[in-house]
Amino acid sequence: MNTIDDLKATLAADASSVDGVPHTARAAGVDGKIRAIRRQRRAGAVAGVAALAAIVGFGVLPALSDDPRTPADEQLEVAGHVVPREIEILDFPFRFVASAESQRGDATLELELGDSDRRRAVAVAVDDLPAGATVTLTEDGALLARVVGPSKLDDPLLVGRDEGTLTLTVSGGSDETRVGLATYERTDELAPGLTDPGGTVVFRDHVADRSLVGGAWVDPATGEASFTVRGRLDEIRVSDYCDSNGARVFYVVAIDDGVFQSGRCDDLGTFDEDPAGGGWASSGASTHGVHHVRMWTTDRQFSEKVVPFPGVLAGSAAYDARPGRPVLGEEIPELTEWDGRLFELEAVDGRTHHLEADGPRLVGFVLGSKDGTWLRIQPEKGPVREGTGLDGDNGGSSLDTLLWPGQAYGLSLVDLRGEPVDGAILVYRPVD
Amino acid sequence: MPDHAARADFDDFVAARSQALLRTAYLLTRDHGLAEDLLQTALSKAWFSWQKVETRPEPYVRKILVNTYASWWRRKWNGERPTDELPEQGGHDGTSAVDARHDLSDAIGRLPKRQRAVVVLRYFEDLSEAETAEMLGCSRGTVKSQLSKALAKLRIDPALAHEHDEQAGELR
Repeated sequence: MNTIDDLKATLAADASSVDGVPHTARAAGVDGKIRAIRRQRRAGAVAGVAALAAIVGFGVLPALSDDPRTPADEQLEVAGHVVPREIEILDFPFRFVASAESQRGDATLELELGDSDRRRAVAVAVDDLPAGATVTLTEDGALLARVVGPSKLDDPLLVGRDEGTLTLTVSGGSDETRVGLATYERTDELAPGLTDPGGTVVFRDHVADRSLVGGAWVDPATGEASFTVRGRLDEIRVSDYCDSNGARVFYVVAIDDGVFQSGRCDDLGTFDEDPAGGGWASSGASTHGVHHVRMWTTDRQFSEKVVPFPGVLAGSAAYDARPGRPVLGEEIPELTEWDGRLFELEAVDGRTHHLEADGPRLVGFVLGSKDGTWLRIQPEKGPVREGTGLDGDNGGSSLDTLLWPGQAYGLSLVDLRGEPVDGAILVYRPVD
Repeated sequence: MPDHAARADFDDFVAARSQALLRTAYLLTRDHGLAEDLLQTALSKAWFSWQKVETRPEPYVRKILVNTYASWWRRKWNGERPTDELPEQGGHDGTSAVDARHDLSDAIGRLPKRQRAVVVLRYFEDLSEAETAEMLGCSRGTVKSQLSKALAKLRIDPALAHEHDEQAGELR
């Protein structure tokens, strides 16, 4: 036994274990990821100078305020709501830039955004919205949010940096209904955390319910850095940042002298000033104790040769883990971040769930079937749709669909043939 | 942006070739769910360059697959699965060919990522050293050394040690 032929035979046998998985489910999954990449690219694009253009369209009240020199003690109002001049989104400070509001009774409000080199956010204000009426916010036709009344200043949400048109559409409004938008952009100040020497990027102190437990930035002169963390490796999440400044640079992270991950700087998802907001990796090992994390830049994938690159900014940080809620063998976090908002676990249900809420809800599921599971979403009005599917025999969970108030949804877990399957539906609500 | 014809071509490719790619993804990740996620991620990345590669897309998609696996930096909690965790040791008696293959399979799963990738590309995909190096973006020397280390690790893997007591050194 154990010749190269045995090795080949074993690989072939192992590979055949995935045969029989239908590709139709895969196509839907690929579509979902393509959409996600498009969204990410739009949100991550950097171009031009921060600017907010003029209001266009009809039904627009000439209440545009975009002068940052406006006296700080002057109260800002949009659609009858006092709008704060400064807000925080995931601990990043944002400042008010401009606002616009409709005339009473108008059905539409549009606001054109120019390119921006900063993250920005928008808050929707509604006033005198009758029961059953809704206000929908779209960006170039893509749904961003839906708000119900009767009177509300909704939480700010992040919008892309490309130029585009924000549109508020009132459905079922009265002659008294007013709507408005307040826009914000990030200030130069970063969230508290581990900041790079240039003050442009930060590993936040807290990401959802995880806390920063260690981290370091690579010294561009030496091309390496290290830090230590204490705990179980499989409970520690490592987040990375690498900006190659146009060079062909690879970034390697090793834990306890074992290479943990390596990749081209350019392969890293760009979450700009907030790398930990993009996610993290787990080593999976269960070793306890103090762990030495070492990072370096190099010129080849997985190369152990340290190569300094002037102008490259790279760093890593580790976050601890909080116990989640056990659901079907999975540990589900009580808190999670999504599109700049913090959500908390509100409900864990079986294979079906009726959702009717006064605010947005983030929904997902825990896999309960080896044959594949999809979350089917049946809106009160509109066609049935399905979220990302999962399959496999090692469990798993998916959380990728935001649903908005203004109508009820029937949620159910189904297999590829649309038949009910076991599992658990997860519902998260925004943290107040 | 690719047009409708390109999309149809892409969909055809997914239908025709994704199963073969899934096998590679599984050998890399050793997890059915992660393999599917890896495959879908690679395919979705490939779509954005489809018009450049559609005449010969499979090597390109395979390269994305392998490199995405190697540099899988960002795993959101909801999709996150440990990939390097030691599997539970089964109760195999080590006397049958099936058990031996199972042990070898487990031992492959314990190889570090890059060594596993080299083993899969060389002995499952039957790529040459040069092709493997091109796929991984490294030198032929690195492929050789990684393969050598991988085979050495397989030889001394505790699960296989009892067999090597009798038939040492056959993996080379």
